[in-house]
Amino acid sequence: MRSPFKSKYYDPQKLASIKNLQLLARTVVEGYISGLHRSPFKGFSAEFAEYREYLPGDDLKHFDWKVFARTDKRYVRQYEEETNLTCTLLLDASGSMAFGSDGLTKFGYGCFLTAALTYLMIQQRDQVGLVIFSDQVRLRIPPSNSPAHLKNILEQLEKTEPAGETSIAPSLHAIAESIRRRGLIIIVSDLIDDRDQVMNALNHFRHDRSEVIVFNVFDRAERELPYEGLVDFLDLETGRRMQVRSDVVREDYQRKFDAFVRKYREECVASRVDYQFVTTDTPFELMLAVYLDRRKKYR
Amino acid sequence: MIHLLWAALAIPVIIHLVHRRKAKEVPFSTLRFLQLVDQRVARRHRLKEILLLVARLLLIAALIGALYRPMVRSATFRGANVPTTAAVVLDNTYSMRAAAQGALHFDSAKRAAGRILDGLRRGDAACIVPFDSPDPAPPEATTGLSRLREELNAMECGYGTAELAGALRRALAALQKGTTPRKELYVITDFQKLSWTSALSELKGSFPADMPVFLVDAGREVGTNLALTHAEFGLNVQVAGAASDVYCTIRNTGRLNARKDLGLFLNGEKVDHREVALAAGAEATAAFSHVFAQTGDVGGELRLDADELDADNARCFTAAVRGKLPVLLVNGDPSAVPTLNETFFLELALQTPSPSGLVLSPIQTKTVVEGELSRERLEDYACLILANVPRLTDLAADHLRRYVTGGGGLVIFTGNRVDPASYNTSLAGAGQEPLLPALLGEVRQSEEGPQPGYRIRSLAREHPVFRAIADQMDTEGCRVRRFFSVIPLKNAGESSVLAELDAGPLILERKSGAGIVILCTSSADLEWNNLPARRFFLPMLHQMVYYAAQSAQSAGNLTVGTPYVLQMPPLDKPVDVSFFAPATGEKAIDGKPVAVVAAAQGQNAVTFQDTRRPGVYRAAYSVDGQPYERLFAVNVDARESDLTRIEPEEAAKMLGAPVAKVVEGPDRLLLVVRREREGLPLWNYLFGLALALAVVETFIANVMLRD
Repeated sequence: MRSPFKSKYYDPQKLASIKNLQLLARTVVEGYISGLHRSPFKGFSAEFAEYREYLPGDDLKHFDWKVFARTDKRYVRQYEEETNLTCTLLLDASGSMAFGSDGLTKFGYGCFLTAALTYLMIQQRDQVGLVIFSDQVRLRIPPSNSPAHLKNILEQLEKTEPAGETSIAPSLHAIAESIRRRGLIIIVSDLIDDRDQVMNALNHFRHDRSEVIVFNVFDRAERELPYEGLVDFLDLETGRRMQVRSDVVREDYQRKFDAFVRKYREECVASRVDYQFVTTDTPFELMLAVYLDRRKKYR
Repeated sequence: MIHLLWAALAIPVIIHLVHRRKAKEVPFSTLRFLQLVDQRVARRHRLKEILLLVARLLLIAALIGALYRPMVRSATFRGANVPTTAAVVLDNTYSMRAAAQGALHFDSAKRAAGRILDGLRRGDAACIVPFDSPDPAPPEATTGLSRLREELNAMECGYGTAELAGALRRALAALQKGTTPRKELYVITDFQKLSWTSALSELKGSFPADMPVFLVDAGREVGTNLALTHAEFGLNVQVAGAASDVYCTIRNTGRLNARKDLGLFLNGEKVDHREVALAAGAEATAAFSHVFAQTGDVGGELRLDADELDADNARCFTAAVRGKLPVLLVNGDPSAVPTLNETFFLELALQTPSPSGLVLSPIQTKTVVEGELSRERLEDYACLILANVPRLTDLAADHLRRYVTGGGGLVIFTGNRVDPASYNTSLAGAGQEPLLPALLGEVRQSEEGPQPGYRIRSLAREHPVFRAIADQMDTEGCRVRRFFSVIPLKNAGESSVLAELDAGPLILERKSGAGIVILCTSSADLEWNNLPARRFFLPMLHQMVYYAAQSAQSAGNLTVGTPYVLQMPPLDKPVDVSFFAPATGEKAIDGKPVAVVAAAQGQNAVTFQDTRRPGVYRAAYSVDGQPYERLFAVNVDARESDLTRIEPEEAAKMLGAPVAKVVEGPDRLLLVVRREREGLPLWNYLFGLALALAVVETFIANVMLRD
């Protein structure tokens, strides 16, 4: 897919790097898609979609011998696989997502992630939609797999600024109510909300037999608390302040934070929600590849 | 320059303040996790920050302070190396003869005194003031410290007892004469409680505020000490061929139970012994019975085996062993009819013959009439009995007074001829030490009746006169029809009643000087009472005579330091009296007299001063070729055997000196003195404090980081 537009969340090189990852990564990407398709979606036929250059390791079943005989070039057929998969990306745009150190906010990171996932999905002819929420649903882009859809999504991402208080559970419940067919739900959020309510909302998606993936995005500073001395912390959502000797409370704070993450992980595992803890200092493409690789192991 | 270092104190403060600079604002995603954090951690950290700041400030301050090399000067500091006068009060009482691990306490005290002298410099002066010193004048402090050191080395521990107050007065007087800017007073003693009496309260205010007083403890608790505190003959007189009892009192003044052998020595020869076992603090009496084979003066000693304090292990005595005990009877109412003589019953009782006519009594009586009394040499008699003597001339009264106060025994029986006013004037007149136990009043007569006469209501049965014959004192049938009432003396302290009738005292006693006076307010015959007809009359009379005569024996028993007065007959020409020290002692005696005292013509007494050592002394002189010899015993004052210690701190308080330092022993003396003179250097303590603070700071810092 070629896209002539530019977006700060769309870095063709990075995206290409995902695409041009070693064979394993590519396989993972495809496998990822196939894997997603496996459980709910079986026995569908595929239509020929396009040729692509043969890479060592490709299945020879799809090797186009005729083209090879004619042109002496090696191509494989790519089929239009089942595109019943509908993926909905849910991006948290609450005020807490505006936090970031080193110039990249969590929301920005989430946008990069969203963009990458959108790209992948569309490339695989999946339908992908986007919901941006904070204390309520702020933007909804219905799923589509048209080439212009990525541009639309990227434009919306660029227009959106994180703000408002977090109220994930009601937003998730509302979104779950609005999604009529099962599919893939990918949530990009810091999940800083009442855990029980959030898990209840995630289970709401699960009840609809959708598969749920959660990218719990944090800035490393939110875990490490790398501040010295007396710090006047300003809550980006509520505007409240709190003075703390961060070097003094760091250890205890980290224990509390880790417990928060651990609880989410445990409960997501119990609810069969795919949970991934993400820090913004990890290159998103690398993280995504690691994730896709891990995902493959659990197919 | 060092002063500038104080600015370093600002460093930790600045660091602390910088560290606590204004909080920087950090926009954060959420306060949720911060709110979950335990605030106690922050509070604990704040406290630790403060503690760290304090520790660091103190550490720097301690280090800088140490650089000043500070000294703590006492109130008595006068500057470095100023001339000093030191007075050393040295306890030389016999309790200092106690030995601890083979070394006498006195040696330890001398060592301490030597160190004091060694600590003085050229130009300093010092004097040594013994507790027990015959010279009441204060000594002169001398700058000749070497000579003083030699005198100190030659000093020996005495056998006396003394209070500290006297020695302190002399020492303070000596210091007052000194002209040096600094004065020091040292008291080196075993802190025997006996020496620290209430007399010290008189010295409060006498100690200058700028004069340190060092109390040096040269004593220790004594483990084993048996002390002979008293020895006396029983009431039996010492006559050849008759058994004489010697009693002694032994006290255990040590901490431990003790068992020792007690020996009786006569003229240096051990004649008897027995074992004595006493628990700590206990007291017991031991008795020996000995038959003197020959007459003459005998020097005796009761001696215990050696223990930690030998000085109180012996008790000396003398005995004048006679063929007979001479008693002079003065018949105040002579009669041609022997049975009507006032002294008839007295003679009969005192020289009771056996049925065969052999006189067995150890008493030899001589009877004179009133007018012959002044011609008698009273010192030749162990006891004098006045029987119904009407009155006494001044000369006779004077002789009697000298006789009694010199140790003689006087027994007075009244009667119808006695002039009470004369007796009261001559024997208890104003301005004189009374001989009479009480003034004679009116004659009281009992009413007529079936059994007229007053009865004996009470008897002092524990008194030596009655103790041995208490079971024979059947006074039920005793009747006294007449007797003199008595008027108590104003200073009746030495008088006591031995027997009392229904209506008043019958027999009284008074100690006067070294002698004893026994007054019977009734007669010695049957005219006023029926005492001579009672069975107890004979033993009672003998006991009275023995008791009164005993005082003559004790006249020759003195306490160490007490001058001995030798009574002599009036001399026609000058005589030299030689005094010989005891044959036993630390130094060998070569037979030479330790003193020769000249007695002038007409003089009848000489005084010998040097009774510093216990033992039996001998006085010898000759008159017209006739040799005379007298033994007298000198013993330690038994009170000094009480080794109870007073706590040094309590003693210091008792002294009331503004600056009093207790030194635990001679070994610490120089250190304490140096600190008092020069001050206490603090820099090493400050370095130590800094080191400790560094450790504390490290601990706090690590604990803080761990939190």
